[in-house]
Amino acid sequence: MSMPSRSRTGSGPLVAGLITIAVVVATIAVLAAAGITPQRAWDSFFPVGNTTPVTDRAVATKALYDIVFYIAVGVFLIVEAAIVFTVVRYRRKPGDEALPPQVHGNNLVEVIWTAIPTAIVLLLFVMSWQTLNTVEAKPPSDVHVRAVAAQYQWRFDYLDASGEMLFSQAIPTGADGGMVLPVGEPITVTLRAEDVIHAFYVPKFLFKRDAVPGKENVFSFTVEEAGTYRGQCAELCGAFHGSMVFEVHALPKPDFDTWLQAQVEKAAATPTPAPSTSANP
Amino acid sequence: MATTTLSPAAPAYRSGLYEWLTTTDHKKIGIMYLVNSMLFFVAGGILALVVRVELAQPALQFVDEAFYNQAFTMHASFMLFLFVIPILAGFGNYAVPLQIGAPDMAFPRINALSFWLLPLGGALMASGFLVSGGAAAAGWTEYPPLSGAQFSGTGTDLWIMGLTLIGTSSILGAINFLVTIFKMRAPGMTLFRMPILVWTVLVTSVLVLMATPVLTSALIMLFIDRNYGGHFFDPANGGNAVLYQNVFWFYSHPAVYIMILPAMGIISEILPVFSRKPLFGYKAFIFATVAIGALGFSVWAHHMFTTGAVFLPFFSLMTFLIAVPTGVKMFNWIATMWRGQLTFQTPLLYAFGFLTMFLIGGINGAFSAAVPVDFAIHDTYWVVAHIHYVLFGGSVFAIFGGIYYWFPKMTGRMLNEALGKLQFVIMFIGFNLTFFPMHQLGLAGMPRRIADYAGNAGWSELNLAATAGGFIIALSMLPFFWNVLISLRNGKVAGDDPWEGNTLEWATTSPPPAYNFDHLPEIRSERPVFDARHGRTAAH
Amino acid sequence: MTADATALTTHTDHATAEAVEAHGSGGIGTPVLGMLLFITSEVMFFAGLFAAYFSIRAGYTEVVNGTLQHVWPPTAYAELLNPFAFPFHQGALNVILPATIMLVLSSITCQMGVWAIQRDDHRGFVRAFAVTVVLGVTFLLLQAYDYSVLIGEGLTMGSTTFGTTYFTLTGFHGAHVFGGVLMLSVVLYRGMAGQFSAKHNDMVEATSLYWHFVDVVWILLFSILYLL
Repeated sequence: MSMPSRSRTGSGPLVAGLITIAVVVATIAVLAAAGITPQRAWDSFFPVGNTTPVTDRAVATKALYDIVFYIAVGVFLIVEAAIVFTVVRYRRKPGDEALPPQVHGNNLVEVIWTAIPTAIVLLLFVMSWQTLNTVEAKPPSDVHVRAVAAQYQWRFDYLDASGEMLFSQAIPTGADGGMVLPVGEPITVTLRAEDVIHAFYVPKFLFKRDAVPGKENVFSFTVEEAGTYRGQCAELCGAFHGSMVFEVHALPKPDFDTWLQAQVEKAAATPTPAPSTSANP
Repeated sequence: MATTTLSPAAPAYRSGLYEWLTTTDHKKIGIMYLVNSMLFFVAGGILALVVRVELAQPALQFVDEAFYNQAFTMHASFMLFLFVIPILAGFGNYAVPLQIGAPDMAFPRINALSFWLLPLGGALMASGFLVSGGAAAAGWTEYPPLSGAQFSGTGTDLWIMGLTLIGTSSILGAINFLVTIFKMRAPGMTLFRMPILVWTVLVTSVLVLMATPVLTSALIMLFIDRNYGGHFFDPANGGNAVLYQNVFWFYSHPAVYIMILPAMGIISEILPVFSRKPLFGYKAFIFATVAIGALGFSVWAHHMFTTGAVFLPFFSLMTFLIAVPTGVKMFNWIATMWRGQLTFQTPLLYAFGFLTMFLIGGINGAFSAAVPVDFAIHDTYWVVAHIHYVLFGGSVFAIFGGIYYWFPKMTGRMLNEALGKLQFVIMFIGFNLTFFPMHQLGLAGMPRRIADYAGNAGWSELNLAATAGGFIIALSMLPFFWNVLISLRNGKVAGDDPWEGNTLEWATTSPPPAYNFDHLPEIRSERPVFDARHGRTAAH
Repeated sequence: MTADATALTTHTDHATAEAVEAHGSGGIGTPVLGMLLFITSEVMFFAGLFAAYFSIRAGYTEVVNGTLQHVWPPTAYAELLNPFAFPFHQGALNVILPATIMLVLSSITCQMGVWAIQRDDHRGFVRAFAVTVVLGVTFLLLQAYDYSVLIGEGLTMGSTTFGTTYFTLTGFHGAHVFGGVLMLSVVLYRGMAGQFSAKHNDMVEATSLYWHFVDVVWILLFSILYLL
């Protein structure tokens, strides 16, 4: 019993080649028609369209991403090339009746292709651990915000040095709302959840952290560029999870100080009822 | 030409309904696993299309948010628990006794029970769609408090009960596989002469045995919290929401190896046959499989890096390390084909698809092992890209390869090659169109599990492309089902060994008689049929 | 072509007079291996529950005298689980230590039954297993009584995580004991019908392994919940 002879000759590779070319051409055509330049296509392989990261931590994360990316692309190209080459080069040809050499293995190459990947991943691990220490560092800071997540809205409580609330920002987005922060100052954020698990995620910060009921997560960062940055809940929290958006407004320090002062005065002036106290002490 | 001396058995698939309902024959049970799993594959695929249709454009056009959440929750639940894991168990059920030269599994009646628990468990889970409040909707991960009684309805209880039955099915199956493999191998088949598929089923069964009960405990604790006033995951009364995640992922991470190892076994059966060479590095491959199984128990918290409750460096290191044995396998597969004589029937095409797509899935997973990068991409569409490249690009391609490879043995008929190749090309293109753009979407900041997104977020075009790809995948299933239908009736008669196979299932008729073998060839290597065909009777 | 034909029909001729011995058919019996694997899966099930228990216990805090402290058990239930207060505790019979002793004894009688049937002592086997079943049922009754006392004292599934973990762990153990009693009863019945002998006793051995497992889990549970 032998393999059907059709598969040993002729049209298969040609058809495969034509299909591959057609797909590549179609992809490029569609991208071009959609106005995607090569630069934009390249940028899409990096966080947030390859834009400059806006916090100090994000800069470190992006640097790590770049390293992982280039190693990943290198590994991908080499291995994928090996697969494609093998598949093209070692097709059974007419006249191939005798078996090819029945090689069972080679201990040396096994050692090599175990040792080299191990070295690569250990290197990646060390680099990512170093970056992690940068991202997780908690320097002393004068700006404390408690981000409170509840179905389906964010609230930002501004705290003083002893943890007392100065005022509460109940509107998560827009010119009159959002998490307003100063540029160039270390900021400490405490995350709290009032009902289910949520997550604080700002894509341009290259960062997210879960808000878990019964647990307060704390993280720090310094915004380095003024602007408005979109944020969104990133842990499924119910039907309207997708609507739980917020904005971060990063202002130059003097503007932030002015804004904060105005908010504190407004909060002191109006006899607002205490905001819904959470059960946590 | 080797034929059995006894009269050939009637083709298995023509037996009456009663026979199928009461059978304890591993071959029929294996086929039932395949059929049941494909039904849930279609159901899960339809749910995926609901998701993709809604996401194609901003604004909610077709479903409301609550139903959308049910759609993606049940899509994943069906695909993972009622398609991938059981269909691989089905291949194991069909092939393992044949490949070790045994007449059946060790416990045939428990084998039948294992199967019938699946449609029952699946029906329970699916019945959530019929109750008030709908089906489970907190993601296939069902984290409390969202999955607790305060935020989720009866559909979640049905999901828990169904999944408990499915888990029981798995565990019983694992016990069966392990006893069969250890106790029922034919004379001459030492452990290191077993086919690689048998090895992967062995290691997978150990994972199922050790990990699935932990899922059961998580499900029971959730059920107690929901229905009996328990506080396991209730922080207001001494409980801990993250505790569920730890117990859940302690199972669910090994689960992904349960979903990939037998698929790798299938690829390792196909590549040597279609390269006319033995598997390169048989022993290295086994060690790599065992290493993946063992390491797989040490990485679970990499799903929880953003909780703030995890010892990050340890889990990051173990996650990076698991790439090494996976890479060893990839290189061994390439070396198997190297200097071989490849013939491109459909099984080999799917193996090629597996190699190229699983490579991408493995590589994009490495990004998440770098914890700070994970802080950026966790719970975004990058992860959706990763899981589908490994599960679809990996497991599903291997599964279809296995279907085309063993259909002749199961039915006595070949599947049509032209239709098979057509399915492969359409599926390959559709798959990449759907899931590759999700890398970009995740990097651009699109979170997972959202029913809708802002029109100005810049995500619309890629979502539209992904939806187009989803429909192309659906399209590719048409030639497949048509192929199965016409081949069952009119397919070319397969004979005992249409592929010039290596392993014992090709030493008997297609389909095999009820007792599997009339004669067994001498077993002196992991390729007894190959040895017999080429007149080799001593180990080489 | 002839080489193919003979190759496929040769070399199993040593399998003539007796049934072909499968590779690996010596050694441990199939039902016993199956039971050991099943017990492994049950161990992992309890491992998940124990992991939850330890995690909850380690993190449990309560306000005591105005400050948040780590306590276990919670002060409200601190005196409830004292196995050594004999014979009465807080107004009711304290049965947990006698129950434990009975379960341990039942493991011994079970093993004696296994040894009996392995030397073809049918009556010894039936007696030993009958006693085992009785001891097992007694354990369950004592456990049920204990539950009623605790619930009367206000400890329920919802009484903080202490109650949740206590009833979940002991409850699932009790369910496993119940399953074990059923298995022992079936084996006892079959033994009385003469189905076991020195040559055929795999199910007896498998059942005894399960019963020992149930006993070991109880010893662990008892130590962790009551003593530590």
